[in-house]
Amino acid sequence: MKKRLFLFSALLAFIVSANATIREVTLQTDLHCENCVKTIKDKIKFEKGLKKMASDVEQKTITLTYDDKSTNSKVLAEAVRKAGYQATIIEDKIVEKSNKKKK
Amino acid sequence: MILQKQYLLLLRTVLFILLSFDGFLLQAQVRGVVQNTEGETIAGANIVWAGTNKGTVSDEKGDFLLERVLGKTEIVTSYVGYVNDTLHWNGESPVVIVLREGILMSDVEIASRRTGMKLELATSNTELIGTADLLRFACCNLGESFSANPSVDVSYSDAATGAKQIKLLGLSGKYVQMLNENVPTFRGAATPFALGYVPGPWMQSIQVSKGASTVKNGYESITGQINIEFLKPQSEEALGLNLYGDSKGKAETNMDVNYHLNDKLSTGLLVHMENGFLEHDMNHDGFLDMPLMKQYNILNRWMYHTDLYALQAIIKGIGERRHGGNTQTFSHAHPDANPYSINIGTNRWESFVKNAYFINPDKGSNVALILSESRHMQEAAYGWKRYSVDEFNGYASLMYETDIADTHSLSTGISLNYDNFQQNYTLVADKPYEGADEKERVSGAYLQYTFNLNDKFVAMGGFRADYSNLFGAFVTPRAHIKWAPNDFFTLRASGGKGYRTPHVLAENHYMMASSRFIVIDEHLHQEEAWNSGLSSSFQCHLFGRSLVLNLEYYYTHFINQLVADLDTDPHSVHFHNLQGTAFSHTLQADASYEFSDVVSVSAAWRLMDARTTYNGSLRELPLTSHYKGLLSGTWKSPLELWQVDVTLQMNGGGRMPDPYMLVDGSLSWNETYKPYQILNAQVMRLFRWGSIYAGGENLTGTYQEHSIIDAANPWGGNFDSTLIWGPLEKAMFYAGIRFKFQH
Repeated sequence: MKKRLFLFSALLAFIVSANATIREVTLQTDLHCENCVKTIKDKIKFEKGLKKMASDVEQKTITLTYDDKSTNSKVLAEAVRKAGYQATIIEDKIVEKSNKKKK
Repeated sequence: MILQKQYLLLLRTVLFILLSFDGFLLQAQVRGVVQNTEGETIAGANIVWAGTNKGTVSDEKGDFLLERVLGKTEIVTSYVGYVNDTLHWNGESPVVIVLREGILMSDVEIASRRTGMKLELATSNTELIGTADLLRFACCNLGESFSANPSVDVSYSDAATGAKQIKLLGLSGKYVQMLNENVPTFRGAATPFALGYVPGPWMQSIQVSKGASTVKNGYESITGQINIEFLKPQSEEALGLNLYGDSKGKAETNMDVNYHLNDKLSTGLLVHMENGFLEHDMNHDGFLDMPLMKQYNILNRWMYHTDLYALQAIIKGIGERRHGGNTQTFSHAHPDANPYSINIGTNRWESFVKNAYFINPDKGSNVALILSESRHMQEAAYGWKRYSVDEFNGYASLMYETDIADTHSLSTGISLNYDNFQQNYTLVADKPYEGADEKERVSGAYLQYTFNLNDKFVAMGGFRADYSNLFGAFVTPRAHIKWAPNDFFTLRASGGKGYRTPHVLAENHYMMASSRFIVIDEHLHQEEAWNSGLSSSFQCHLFGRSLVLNLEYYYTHFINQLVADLDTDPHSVHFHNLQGTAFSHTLQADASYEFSDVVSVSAAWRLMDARTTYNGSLRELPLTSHYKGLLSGTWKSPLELWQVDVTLQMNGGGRMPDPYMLVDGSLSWNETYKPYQILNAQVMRLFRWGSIYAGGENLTGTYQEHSIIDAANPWGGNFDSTLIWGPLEKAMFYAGIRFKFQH
């Protein structure tokens, strides 16, 4: 019985993770230097589900790649605000929708 | 009259329009950030237009928005503890204002903004080992913090005490002046074991300067200076914990906590405990590869500052017990033999107070008083040989610094130093507990002038005169030049003299871990040497990434040196004044490059030629490698949650002290030792609450297998554990965890 329960939850987790979608949210912030990017990165890098962070100092934007099963763009934007910078969602798009086996 | 006024009004309007087309007025505000010389932002700094009180204050991120005032272009920024900065604003935005710390916290010329390892704005050739560097490898203590630094070599002094020594420019670490927050420390009796007295997790940074350094800290630096900075109590309130364990059987605990009593006063407490409890004898020579060591170390520091006054105080204490020699296994296997045992017990405390008062912050005028004292009590037993020392040191230094004009500044001061050694030793079986007291009082004064043209050309000349009750009067001239014509290239030259008082037994008692007769000449003079060097730094962008190249050369020439002759008689060591020539040439090239956002690599190569006259012939120093190569790399995951660091050291071969012939016709040991490599690696995973790390040292496992000569007969006439050229143990693995709780 225990074994069956374990197999079932493993399958469920697999299905759930296999259905995870990788999304990218672009936030408009008020950062003005490379140091600001580093400050934001250091403060938000522990956010669950966050995969990658890119930035454009000239445009004052940061683009966060995340796993939408673990987090969402609102949570991430709030994390940036907690780091001390303004953050407004400009764009939130799907990058990779996966129904396949995760590598 | 009215016509004149209307004319003036027209003129002003025209000017207004013209200026606005110039673009100046289009920007109604100046945006910027205020930082200190380490790149940390400063909150609460006052930013005003010169000659007005119109300005603003930087926010908690160090950022500010300064409203423009017509006609004003000079921005004055001030903050307590720092020298006021005047910036000529030429319309750029955002603007970065860098504040230099006043006399209390660091040498005025040691500013920063590092490129690779170098402190770019420093006048002297200085490398910085910062917090990030200290986290790359185990770095349990000061002696282990140089494994990825190309300039400093670390090795064991002997196979028995666990004492480590450094070499800079191919010469013994005793020629490097050790400083703690720019206050001289770890002199005299502390020298042989000092590298184990500073726990890694306590340090904020280590600055290594090569060549003659500023005369402000005295005359004792010949090859360079190492300045250690501890975690600062005025940083964010936090409690840190670091637990470590390794396969050698050592466990360590470190704790750091700081607390702000109010906005002026903060205090910090650092605690360290270590215990090595497992016996190792990998080469099965019956001797412990590493002594078992217990150490307790505690430091309390205080920081108080107002607008014009800053006070820093530190008090610390160490208790340490080392036990080496025959293993328990050996003793049980040989119940009739008398086990050879080494026991070293040390109790040390030291304290200092630094006061600085800003007389005129606009001109950088400040006066500082440093008072320090230390008491070092040590008892060492090597078999039946004994050495015990009770050393007291007191030091006082009063300094005054000021800018005279835009480009000229002056520093002057007086100092007093008192050293009192009370020693007892048994070197020869039939002469127990001989006493040897040494007392030295030195008073001195210095004057240093600096010409600084926008940090592009800096010339610094210093002169010191000191008087010692033992050696009379002596002078120390030093000069530094820095030329940085653009952002890509910097050239530095330095030259000067240095002296030190030799204390043979206090600094070399580990030589008692051998059967050699220790012969010490009478009337040993001060060690005295000239050092000169040239270093160049080149920074460019390769494929959009920063590449830094350094090339440097140093020459040290001794007028007098304390020579330790191990060659003339392989059964004795003779300490005497230099009779002949002694010098060292060092040539070093290093490069660092960031391949991508996640990978950065550095490489270095150094050639050394260090020679001394032993018994009439000029020969290379024994146990000193001819060359050293270093290759080091860091990989970080995209979000910097994972970090992998690898370092490969390539040490050249060298000569051993002259061997003697054994009865069977073979030599007691090889005349030379071959090149060897040391590979270290570490993996670290960061979390919100801290990090976990695991790694290995000496992964290739090369070690000096026969480190002890005639280990089977430690009481015999051939026993010698002091001929060490390489690692004493094979691969070692470690793991640890760090916690950081912030307020």
